[in-house]
Amino acid sequence: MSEIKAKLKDFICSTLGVEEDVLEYDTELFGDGPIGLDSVDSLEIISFVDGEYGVEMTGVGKEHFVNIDAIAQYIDENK
Amino acid sequence: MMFINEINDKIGQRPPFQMIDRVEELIPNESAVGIKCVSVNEPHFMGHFPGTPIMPGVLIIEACAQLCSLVIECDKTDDKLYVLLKVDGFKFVKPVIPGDVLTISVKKTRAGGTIFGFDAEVKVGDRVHAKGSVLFTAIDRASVYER
Repeated sequence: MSEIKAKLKDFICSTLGVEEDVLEYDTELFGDGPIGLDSVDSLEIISFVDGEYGVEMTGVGKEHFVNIDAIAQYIDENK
Repeated sequence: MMFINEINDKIGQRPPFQMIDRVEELIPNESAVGIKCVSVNEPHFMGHFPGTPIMPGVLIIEACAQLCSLVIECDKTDDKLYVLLKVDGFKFVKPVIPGDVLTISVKKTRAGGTIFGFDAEVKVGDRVHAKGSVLFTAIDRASVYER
């Protein structure tokens, strides 16, 4: 699962413009935190996960998008 | 080759907001090359700018987006609408002026979930005048006017 987390982090930093040194696997991605991703970013993450792992996350609950750990766990359980 | 009547069958935009006059090449769900002939008669040139008409960058992006929408094959009977989601890294290298014929090339770079991504390049003759990337997503038509 560490490979999934590393790929997610790489995508979030390179495509969504998040600085690598402020993003840990348990850092909150959305809301008023330091990262502050929005709904457009979530669609990009869903697209990346679908393309990379064939896992459909459209309509999946917010709790699975809280941080990289949560997204990776959902991918691991559903791929 | 796709002429304006066939373009009209596939996209909803109409004058003065129709930005693709002809499609030269089209590979469904992959890429396209389209033509936009820029005329001084277009209404935005009245104000952008008086005495020095330049095609607004947002309309160049719109031209790219309309060509992308022709590339995306979708079921006309469904309740989805493809809309622009994000514009990335657009550069307007050289002004577009009346009399220019834009050759617009778009190529799909990614698709997954509900997203389609394209790279776009706009040339006049052999010179690049603008380039960048656009993302689209599918939304429910019924949700457009929800507040």
